[in-house]
Formats: sequence, structure tokens, C-alpha cells
Amino acid sequence: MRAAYFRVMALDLWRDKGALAMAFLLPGVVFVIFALIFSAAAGGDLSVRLALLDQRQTVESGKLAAALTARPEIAAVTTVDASAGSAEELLNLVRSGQVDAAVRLRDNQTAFSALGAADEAPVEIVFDPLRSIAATIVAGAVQTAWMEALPGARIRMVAAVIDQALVPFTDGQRTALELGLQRWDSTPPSPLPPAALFQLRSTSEPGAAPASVSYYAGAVAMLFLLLASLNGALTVLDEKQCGLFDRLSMGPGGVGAMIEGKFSFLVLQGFVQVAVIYTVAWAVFGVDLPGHWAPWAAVTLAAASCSAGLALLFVSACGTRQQAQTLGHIAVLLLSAIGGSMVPRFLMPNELQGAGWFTPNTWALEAYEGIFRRGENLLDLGKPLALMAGTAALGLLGARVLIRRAGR
Amino acid sequence: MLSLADVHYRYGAHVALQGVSLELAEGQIMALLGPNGAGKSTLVSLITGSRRPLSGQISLNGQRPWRNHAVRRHIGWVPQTITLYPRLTVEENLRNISRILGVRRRDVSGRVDEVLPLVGLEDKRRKLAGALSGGQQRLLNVALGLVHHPTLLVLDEPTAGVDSAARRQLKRILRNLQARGLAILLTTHELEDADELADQLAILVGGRIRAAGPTGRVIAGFFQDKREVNITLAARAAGDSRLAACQHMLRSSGLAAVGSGHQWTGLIDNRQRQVDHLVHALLAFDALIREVRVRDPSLDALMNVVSRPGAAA
Repeated sequence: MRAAYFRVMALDLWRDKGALAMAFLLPGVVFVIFALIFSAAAGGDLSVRLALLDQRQTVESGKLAAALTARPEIAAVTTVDASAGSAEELLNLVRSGQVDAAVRLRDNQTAFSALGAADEAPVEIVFDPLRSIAATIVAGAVQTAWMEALPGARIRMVAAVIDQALVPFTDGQRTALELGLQRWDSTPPSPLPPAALFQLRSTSEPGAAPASVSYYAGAVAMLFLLLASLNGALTVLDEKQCGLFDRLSMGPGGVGAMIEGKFSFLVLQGFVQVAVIYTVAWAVFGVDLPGHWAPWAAVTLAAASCSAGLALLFVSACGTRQQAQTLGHIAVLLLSAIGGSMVPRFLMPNELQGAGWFTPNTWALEAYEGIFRRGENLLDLGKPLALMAGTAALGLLGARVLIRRAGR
Repeated sequence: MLSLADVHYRYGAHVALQGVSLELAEGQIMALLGPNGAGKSTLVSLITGSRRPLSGQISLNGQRPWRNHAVRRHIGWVPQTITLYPRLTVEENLRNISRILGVRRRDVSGRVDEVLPLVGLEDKRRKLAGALSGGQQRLLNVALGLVHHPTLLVLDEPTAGVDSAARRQLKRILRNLQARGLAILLTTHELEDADELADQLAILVGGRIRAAGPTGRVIAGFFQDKREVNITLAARAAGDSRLAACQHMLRSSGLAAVGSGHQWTGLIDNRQRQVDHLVHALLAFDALIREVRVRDPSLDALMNVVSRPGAAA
């Protein structure tokens, strides 16, 4: 009997091409889009379209502009000719979104080595608050270009700090330093020795997929698991409204077999759905699915069961399809927003991160993060696995009780 | 086979059924009639075991159907709405629903092959149920109620919204099933169908059985020596003194005008040959009379009488 319910749901889904695409195609596509956006944003591949205005028109400003233009994080440069109104033109380029940020080399007599307030700085970075990340990237690029193109300016600035704040130079020392720096400015400077202040070390293994990709695989999987489970569970109400429920509940399995048959189908559908997403993540982005298949399968089975149980419980508690559909979609969106399926949990305030533990999205995401980023095994994943399995069992039991009560 | 004894049911304060008693044997067709809100659906849900009576006994072959799947599997339920999976073929519907209704896996193919010719859908077995015509879907709806070999078939308004050809086919199917010994209970508002098909009647009004038993005997017993008289007058100008006299005579005989006053109908007690006297009197108005019909009271007349508020059983 349960197998018959399973077959009915499978055939129904197979012949409903829209629902089929929604269940298995759309999640993969949405995941790829998310992964491309966020792996670029978090993985250091973000590049900026820049507008550049050199109002100073000196040898130094030319060197700085050339070094800045050559930076890898600057994707394209729109050069604005210095003239009256060119500063306004620069602002408009940023406002209109034609460039992500702009750099103006001011003609304000402030040396590139000067110490002073920001409003007197020789370089101005113009940015749109909607793309403030671009300002940070350009600031870093200007800093690096300044050190590469004008090493003398860098030393003059350090010397000025020493002179003013630590040990005042004598006139002789100042003269000797300036002569040395002028000689250095007139000849091509040899590269400065590298500064060994820090070394960047990633928590990911070399060649591993960006962390954001494995995160979004789980995040998108949970969002679509909940949606697909809800849509599948809605067939309970369809069958109730058209009278099939009364006919089918006369079978020896009663409503229990109906709920269990649908539950089994939703679990398998969910498992395949998540498998599709992670297969894409492995094939396209290098997420190490084959290396973690056993814990991944356990977590995916628990997540699919949890979604199916919750969806059946929710639908059984609703009176009509319209009510279940409307409230269900609101619930899925809220769970996904709080649980981390839309925005990474680490970007959330602490209170929201705590609230996330009341959602299945967080349980599954924490488990997937444990597998793919922290290399945890099944024993380490006890808490999220227990939460998901428990919710699945409670959902299934509750749905049976509610449906039986509704059938009286 | 099916027996109901003094069955009561209510929804909160609303009394739905009061002391309903019925008997239905193998090979009988019973029409359960009654106006909307009479309690037919509640009674059917009690018989099919979806609800439990508050008091009284319902038994099918000696066992109570409520939550008793051993009994319920002997009931074929054909709801008024077409309840099938539109994206499954006719055969897939039958196969899967028969499994859900408890048919053993090895018997499924045989049941499908058996039931399809019964409803005339052999050549549609690979067609999607949603692509069938309305009449064919209704036939499949009946087939789904038969596929598990029930001994009692319960049909709710089986001919509602069905064209005359499909209706004739459905009636043939029901007679065929009756001949095979199936007990059939059908609720309907189509009195012509009930009159034609049913050999047992049960008229439910306000939760009580107003009349029950073999169709002919129920009607005859209810009306006893009454005859149903229908008279059509010829169209004459209003104000004609002979027409007024004729209408007065009809009214005083117990007939009532229908519509514009040219159609008169009523039940006349014939114990003292009143019908003969009426026909005789009508001869005096020969030129005004177009048609006189006298017949035994119909099911329609019975329903009109028992459904009237305050009508006695």
C-alpha cells in the first residue's frame, strides 16, 4: 500500500514537467548562480571597474595612475580628462553605475608623502554606498600602487614620522636624506625588501572549492528541500478536497499508509534533489563529495526526512490547500532567512545566529559545514543529526494523528 | 448484508440522524432519497465507516464498519466528485488504487482486466485519466469503486452532470452488478433514475426515515387509494365564465393550479370512485379540456409530499 502511494506520487511528478523542473533542475541552476556570485565575492576574484581622473598631471601622478591601472583587481579603467567639471563627471560615472568606484588625483599641492588630514589627502576615492566593497578594494589597490610606483614617497613619509614624533633629524641629516632620495627618484628604484609582517593562510586545503560554494550548496539544498516537501505534501489536501482521501482511507492501511507512503516519496525526492545540487558542486566547483559521501548521505537523508515530516505535519494542520500554500511558503521563506539559506549565518547578528538553531536549515547547514569544512565524521555530527531525525519522527507521527482526526 | 438499527448522529447541537433503521440484502439496489441537508451524506459516511454512530448499530455482514478495515474493504465507495489521479493512465489509476484498497499484488492485473470491460473502458486503459471525457471519468470513478471486489457498492449521485448516453450506460452497469449479487446503495436527486433502478427506497427527511421498503410497496402503501390526476385546460380568454366555473370545480375537487392556471394537478382519494366522478363532471366542460391523465402516484409525488415541512411519516 505504501508503495502504491509512492508510485502514484512518482508518476504524478514525472508527468508534471513543471514540478519536475522545479524539483530537480531549478535547485541546481539557483545553486550555480549563488555559487558564482558568492565564490567570486568571498574568494578574492572580485574586480572593479574604475574611473580615473589625474588633475595633478605630474610625473609622480602619472606613475601612480599607471601602477593603479595595472593592478589585477582593477578590471577596466575609464580615464576622465582633467578639465572644469571633470570632478562632477567622475561623481556621475559612479552614481550612474557605469563604474564601481573612481579615483581622483587631486591638484591640491599636498605631496604624495605628506602627513595630514584626509580632506587634504592627494588622492580621493569616490564610491557608491551600495557598492562600498569597491571602495575598500580600490583603497587597497591605491595603497599597493603607491608603494610600488613611488617608493621615495613611502620613505619620505616614514622619515617625516621619525623626524616629527621620535628623533628630530639635524639639518645635515635632512639634507643628506633628501639628496639620497632625489638620486633615487631620478634613477629607476630597486625593489624595496619585502615586509614580513604577515602571511595569508587559508583554512581550505590547496585546490579545494571555495568555502562559500560548499556553504551555498547546503543553503540552497535546504531551501528547495523545504519547498519541494511542502508542494508534495499539499497533495494530501488535494486528495482531501476532491474526495480521494475518503476513498483511499478505506484501504486496510488507512490514513497511516497514506502518510507513510507520501513521506517515503518525499524523502527520496529530497535526497535526489540534494544529490543533484552536490553533484553540480563537485563537478563544477570541486566540492569534495566523493571524499565525504558517507556522512553526506547520512546528513542528507536526515535533512530530507526532517523536511518531509515537517511539511506533512504542517499541511495536515491546515484546512485548505490555499491556506497551506500561502502560510507554508511564508514559513519556508522565514525559516530559510533565519536559518542561513539566504544570507550566510556568520554575517548575521549573534541573536539571529542563535535563533537559527530553531530552524532545520541551520541544523543541516551546520552538519554540511562540519563535513566539508571541518572534516567531521558522523559521531561529531550527533547534535544536528539527532535534531533532524527527531523532528522527522515527530512530524510523521503528528501528521498521522492530525489526518486521522480530520478524517472523522 | 447491510443493516442499520436505530442509528443516531449529531454534529454538536445539530441532530443529523434520528433513529434510522434500514436493511439492504445482496442483489438489491436501494435509492436513498431526500432533500439537501436531510442527512444522506452523514448516513453514507456512517455506512462506509468514516464516522461512528452516536448510538444504534450498523453492520455489514454482521460486523461494524467503523475503523474496521476488514469490513470496509468489502465496501466500494463511489463519491459524487470524480476522484482519480488525472496524470495517471486509466490502468495506473486502477492498479495503484486497487493496491491501496488491499488487493494482493498478484491479483491486481486480473482485477483490472475484469473491471475495465465492465465499465466499457478497455480501449482507454493507456489513456491519461485527465484526458477522458466527463462521462468516461465518471465510469472510471465507478470502476475504482469496484476494483477490490466489494460486496456493497455505495454511490453518491452517480448520474449527476452526466449526459443521457453515459447515464444509460451507467444504469446498465448497475443492473449488471445487481445481477452479480452486489448490494447497491445510491443517493440521488434524480427520481427517474431511482424509480427505474431501485427495488428498495429509503426517503430521509430531517434526519428521519419517512418511508422505506420495496419501491412499489412504499409508494402504494403511502398513497393507498389515492390517484395522481393531471388536467390540462385549453387556452381561453381570461374572464370566460365557463372557464371560471371549471376552475372552481377543479379546486373544490382538491386539485391545485400550476403556473398560469391551465395545468391542474393533485392526489385524489379514490375510495368512493371520486376520480370517476371528477372525470364525469369534466365532460360538462368538454370544450375546455385538452388532456386528462390519471395514474398511480409517482415517486415524484411521494417526494413532494414527504419533503413538505410538517409532513407526517
